[in-house]
Amino acid sequence: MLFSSYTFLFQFLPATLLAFAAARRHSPRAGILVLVGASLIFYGAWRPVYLLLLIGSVAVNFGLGLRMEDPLRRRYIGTLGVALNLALLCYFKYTNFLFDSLNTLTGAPLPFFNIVLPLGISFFTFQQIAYLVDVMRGAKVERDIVSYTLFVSFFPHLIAGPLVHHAEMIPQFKRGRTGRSAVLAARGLAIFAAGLFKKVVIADNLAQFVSPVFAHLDAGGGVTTQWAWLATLAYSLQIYFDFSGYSDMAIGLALLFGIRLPVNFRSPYQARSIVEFWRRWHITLSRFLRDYLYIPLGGNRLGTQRRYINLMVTMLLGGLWHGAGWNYLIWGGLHGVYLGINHLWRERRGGDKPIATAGRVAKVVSWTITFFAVVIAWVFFRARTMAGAWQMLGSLFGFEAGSSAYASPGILRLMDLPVLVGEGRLLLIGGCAVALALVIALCLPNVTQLFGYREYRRAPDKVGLLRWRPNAAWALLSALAVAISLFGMWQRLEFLYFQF
Amino acid sequence: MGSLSISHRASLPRVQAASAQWIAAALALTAAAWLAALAGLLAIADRVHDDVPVLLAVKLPLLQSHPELIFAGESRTVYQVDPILAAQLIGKPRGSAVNIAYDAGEPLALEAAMHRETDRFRKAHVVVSLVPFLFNEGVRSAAVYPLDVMARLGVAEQMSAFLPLRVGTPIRFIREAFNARLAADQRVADLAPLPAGLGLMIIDRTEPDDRWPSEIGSHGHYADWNLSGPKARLEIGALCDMVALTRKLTVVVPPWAPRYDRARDPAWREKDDQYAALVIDAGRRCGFDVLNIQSVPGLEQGNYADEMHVNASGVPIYTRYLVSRLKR
Repeated sequence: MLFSSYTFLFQFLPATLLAFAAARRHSPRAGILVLVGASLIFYGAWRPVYLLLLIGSVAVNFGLGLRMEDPLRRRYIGTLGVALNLALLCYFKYTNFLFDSLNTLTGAPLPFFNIVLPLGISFFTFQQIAYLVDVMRGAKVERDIVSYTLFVSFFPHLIAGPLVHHAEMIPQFKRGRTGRSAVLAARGLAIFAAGLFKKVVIADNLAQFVSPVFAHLDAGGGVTTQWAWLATLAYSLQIYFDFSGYSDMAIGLALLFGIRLPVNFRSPYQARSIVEFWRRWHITLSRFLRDYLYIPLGGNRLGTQRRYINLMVTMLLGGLWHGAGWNYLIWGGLHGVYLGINHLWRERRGGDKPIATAGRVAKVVSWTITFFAVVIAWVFFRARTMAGAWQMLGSLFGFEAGSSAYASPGILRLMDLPVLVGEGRLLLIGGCAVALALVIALCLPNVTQLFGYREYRRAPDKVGLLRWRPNAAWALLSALAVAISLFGMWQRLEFLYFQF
Repeated sequence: MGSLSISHRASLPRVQAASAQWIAAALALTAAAWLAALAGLLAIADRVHDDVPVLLAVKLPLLQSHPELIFAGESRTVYQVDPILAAQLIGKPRGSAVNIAYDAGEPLALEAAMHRETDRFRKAHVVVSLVPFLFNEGVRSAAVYPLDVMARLGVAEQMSAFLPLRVGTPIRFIREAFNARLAADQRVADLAPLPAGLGLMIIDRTEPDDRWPSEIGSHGHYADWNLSGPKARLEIGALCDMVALTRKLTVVVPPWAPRYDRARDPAWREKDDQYAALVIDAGRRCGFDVLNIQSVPGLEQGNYADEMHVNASGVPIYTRYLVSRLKR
């Protein structure tokens, strides 16, 4: 069930809110139980059989957690639990990739398995691995199955994050104040409206400049340099507005029930270095990779050389987390190289000088380098084949372009309503759309700045001049955002991160 | 709305109350904004709408063979009439008969195509199949409400007739209006590739027993029976106008599957008789023939894929019977 679907907005969400409000009048615990039930229904609506997998995963991890109360067996059971979770993830996500790679390397006729990737498996597996590792490190074992189940399966974050941490979720379920605040609900509604608009109106309309071009390249075609840049830049913005829109919707939905989710994006395209980019992009994944991979590998404590190796390993595995394919590995590897160069540069300059002290030209140059480095890496992330990715890179820099120009039908799809405009005008309109989206990404405040959103047990961010207030103007703006988005929802485009 | 503004020094209950008010206002404004946007889109759709829908436009290249016999109408022609066999039966070469029918095809769309391809229709015998929901105003679902009828209603009528429960119908109209305009701008009717089988499509599966309706009187096509709305008026008007645009016009009312017995289903019989009378009366007034086929000799239950369409085995039987009736 997509957040941006009529079924979700007009059936599931109102029913859940009403049931939650009614149960909450009885007791906070009843409200939590309603959320657990709704979350399981939400997941089961996709493929009921995979609900068993989710429930099984929750039950096994919860049971392992209980057994880890015995300090003598804690490490052994924790390690076993992590291995089990990784095995489950590997089976569903990496079996065919491994067999396919072995087949390519050895020529052995290995079979292809028809395995359907369960929605959100990367997210709910990682969250539970983090839980087991923390218990191994001495964190408190969760003894309440209802709170634990809701921590893993709470529907706003279940399918595509944010990757939540047990220590920031479970205490909220136990406070007994969940869902009482109309203040939070109003803010949640406004954040949800903003996220819906980002996804349905901005990201989904940019998709038309991306999908046909990459499909054409993956099928062995060529495109002109103009189309290559348009498609690559459009994808860079599409994935940002799609994923950050989803994260905003998740945050907004959770607030409707009085629960605070962690922030996932803080205007990443404003970053002036790759290090800064990863502090702003998919923050909860970066946090997970840092705490459960980079630091356990030794982080920067074992010398400069090990630091770069650890960075590279972390980013390669981060790439693989997104998908089983060499293109994701290269994407991760590229970011590993970028981060390595960034750290090397900082060391040469004598440590972490704040970017704010740099001159205007230096800021522009560092932003430009960062932005285009990220954009080039997206080519590997988006292409379905390596040949398609190389072809795109060739087209971007004029090596492969011109031989077989991309023959666009010249149809503009505005909220999926087609209008014949011709290829030349379509390029122009696409360029303007990309420019407008980039201005929004660079100049408008993000969720934490605009809505003064405060994460659980964290100080609020600095707010800018433009700030949401529960007044008539913002009510009208939110209403327009939702009303326009409702007309775009007939496209039924999935969120890009559903595939991960 | 001024009361929605919250001062920093307001008490918590007041802030909570103002927030609740804000939520209510935002939801009310969303509904108002959505209605305004829908009205605007419907007005635009009315302007861009083309009476020839995409489904019909992609079949019009079949007319390039200058056919003498054109089968048109709705799904019971799409899936039941084999134009290649029909041409053989009338002793003419392949291409002399074509099938340009499409799912839920309406007479208004066919008339629009006739105005566009005047010469090709004027020399042909056009056979149009009909279905009750094209005339029954009670059927308002998005999938089958005739788009050209919709286009002839004003924006206010479009909204009052279909909101809130049938919102999908105006939304489909908007989407199809843009699709039809695109097809017209791309000259699909002239440039599209020829459809396979000269327009015949085959249903290659049979619905399981539990999916068949138990009776026809309560079938969706006869729901909220009402033949006095704009559908009946406009579609019958289109049939009458077509007479002057063709060499000969025959209107066909195809049969339902043989497992359904009209004699035992008075609700069906009564409504069907009214519908057939409406068409026959129009035929008498305007000068077209009407074939009200209640059963086809040799066409048995096993030849049906569902309650109203034959499967592959039924196509030749139905085609032979229809052509034999046309020859008379």
